[in-house]
Amino acid sequence: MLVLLGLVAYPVGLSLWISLHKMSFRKPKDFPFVGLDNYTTALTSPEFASALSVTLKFSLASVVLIVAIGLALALLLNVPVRGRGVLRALVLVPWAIPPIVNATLWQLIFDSHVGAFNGLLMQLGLIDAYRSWLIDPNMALVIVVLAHAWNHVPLATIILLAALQAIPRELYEAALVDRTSRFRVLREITMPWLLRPIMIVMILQTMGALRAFDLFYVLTGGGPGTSTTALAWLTYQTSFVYLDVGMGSTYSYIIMIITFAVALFYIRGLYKRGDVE
Amino acid sequence: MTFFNSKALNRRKFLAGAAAIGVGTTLPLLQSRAAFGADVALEFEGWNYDPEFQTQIVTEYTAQNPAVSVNFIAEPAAQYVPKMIARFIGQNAPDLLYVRDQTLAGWADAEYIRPINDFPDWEEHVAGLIPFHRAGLEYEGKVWGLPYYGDHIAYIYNSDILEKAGIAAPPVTWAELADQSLAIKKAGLIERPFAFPLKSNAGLHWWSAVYASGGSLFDAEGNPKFPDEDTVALQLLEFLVHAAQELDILDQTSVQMGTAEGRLALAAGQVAFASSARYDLKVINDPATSKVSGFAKQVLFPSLTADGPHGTVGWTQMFSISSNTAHPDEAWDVLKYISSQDVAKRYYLKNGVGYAYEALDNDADIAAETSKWSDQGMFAKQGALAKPREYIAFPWAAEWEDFHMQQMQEAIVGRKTARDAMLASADKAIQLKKSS
Repeated sequence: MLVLLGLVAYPVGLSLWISLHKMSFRKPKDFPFVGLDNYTTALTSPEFASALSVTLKFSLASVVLIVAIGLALALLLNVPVRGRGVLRALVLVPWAIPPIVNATLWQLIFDSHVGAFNGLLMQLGLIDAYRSWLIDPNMALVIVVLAHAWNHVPLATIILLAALQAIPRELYEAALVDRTSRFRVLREITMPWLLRPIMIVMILQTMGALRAFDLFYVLTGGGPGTSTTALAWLTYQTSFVYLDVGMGSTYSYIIMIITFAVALFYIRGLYKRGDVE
Repeated sequence: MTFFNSKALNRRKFLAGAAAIGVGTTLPLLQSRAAFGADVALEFEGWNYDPEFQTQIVTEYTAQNPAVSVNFIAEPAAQYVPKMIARFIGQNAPDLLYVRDQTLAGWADAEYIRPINDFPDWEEHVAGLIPFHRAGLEYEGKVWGLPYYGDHIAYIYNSDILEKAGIAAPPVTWAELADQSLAIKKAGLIERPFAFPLKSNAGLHWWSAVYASGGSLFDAEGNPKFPDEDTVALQLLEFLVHAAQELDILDQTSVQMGTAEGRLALAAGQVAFASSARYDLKVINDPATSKVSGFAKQVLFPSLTADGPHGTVGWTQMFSISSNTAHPDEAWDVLKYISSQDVAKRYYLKNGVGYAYEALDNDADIAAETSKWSDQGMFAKQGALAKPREYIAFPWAAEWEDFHMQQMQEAIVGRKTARDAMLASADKAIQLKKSS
């Protein structure tokens, strides 16, 4: 209990206290109480609005992509074919790669001078010269989403595959006897059984996406302009580059509140389905 | 029966054993300490540029001064400032440390570091410094350390590419640079021959371009003079946007380019023109690290008009003593040694990194070394026109510069006009100044 208080409650409480003060490491002796001023400043600033918009776009796109690909792979790996064990092991590989290494890998893939993606498009005759994909404000965010999804799809796949294997075989056998179409089997049997695990995947992935930082740090540095400045990157910049820890703590709390609200939203969804007591 | 399998292993035996182990492991350390004879142990911390050299220097010092031991620790450069601040806040700062020009004002205001004016012989150690480097050590009328190194942003061109494109002389103005880039492009040598580092931490290059054209961004109180009171910044950004979007001569990766990436692009022969730290010429002209060895040349920084003044940004990084050191006199003695003219000369000969001592401008060894990879005359000429960024003492400087570079990127990629980007940047400066 004491360890929990010391390692979790104290720092969390202290950062909340700091977020109610004007505090900069440039002037550590000045520590005036400003109440909710930092929160008002954050919520009315164009930088925050832009970062929130980037974060929401990134989170939405990532979660949709991860759930869709994860589900497709889980369904595929659930089919009894030769070499299924090897395929299941292979699908886990991206998950084993540390996020910072993953980011560096994708940076190399999309490099404007030596990137494999440019090489592939050139060989297919789709472009006539190498392009700088990461300087295109729209493409930059798409690439970050792809890199994030690649790293996180395996977890979604494993959770959904485990759920698929828990579906009673009798249901499928009954459907087979009734000559039910594959689509109907998916819609009437598989998907209802998968809804709860999908919800769990969505909660985990949304929380991860809202707090994503390493990909932005390595791949785009928040740019070009502010096109990939997500909330986590803004928090890092504010706290560790501008040394404004009062404002940085405020941003951290806003991220926490958003994450908490999203988690509550999902859990309420589960309650409505009667899956959570 | 051994000690450990004895049934009589009671608390007394356990404590006696633990004490014996403690004494056994500590005694050799105490003995070696005594043999070393150091009465004072100092911690010295810096970022990780050639830490072997710094370790060698402090080893030499401690060999001559056995009463003092100095432990040099090198931190990753990107994490250096936050790490040091965490140590300052935790009252656990090293006795001696590197201080960046951008952090001097903030660290002095916060009383993290102490001025050297308190030490009796300080004046003789700043007497022979190049004036701009001497100024770089000062803040609020006090001197806060002694120089580690100092240099300026150089404009570099690839003479081989220019020759192949039939260009007789390097550019003096941005208009000439655009014409030459078009000629290089037309000759099929490089598609986009010109790079301009615009990454968020690459403000030095932008300031250099502003100074080269005789511009100024802020008045003494920190009020922005751009885009209308002083139009240089706006004209420069308009030129860059024109070069990127209409002439298509600006390397597309410029918006992601910092000093390191610019140096790599020059060394790889991917661009013919770019600014870089002057000492990077040593690496760019080294056949072991460059494809264009021998062809990278320095020219005065281009300006909007031929009459210049072709200035640039210079900077001074320093060694300082932390406020909470328990051994200020010993730290001062080490400081004088590590920042001496002799050490600065050795550092230059090894790495090509600039010095702050006027006398070294006429040193035969320095001239001979420079001639291997650069032009000492051009080094001195551009160095004489260098000056520090004028806003560096404002507490909001880093935040504004990041925002400003983002605005420049927005203009280059076509999401804003140059004027809107400049107006947004000026508004941000006013807002930051007001809230600081």
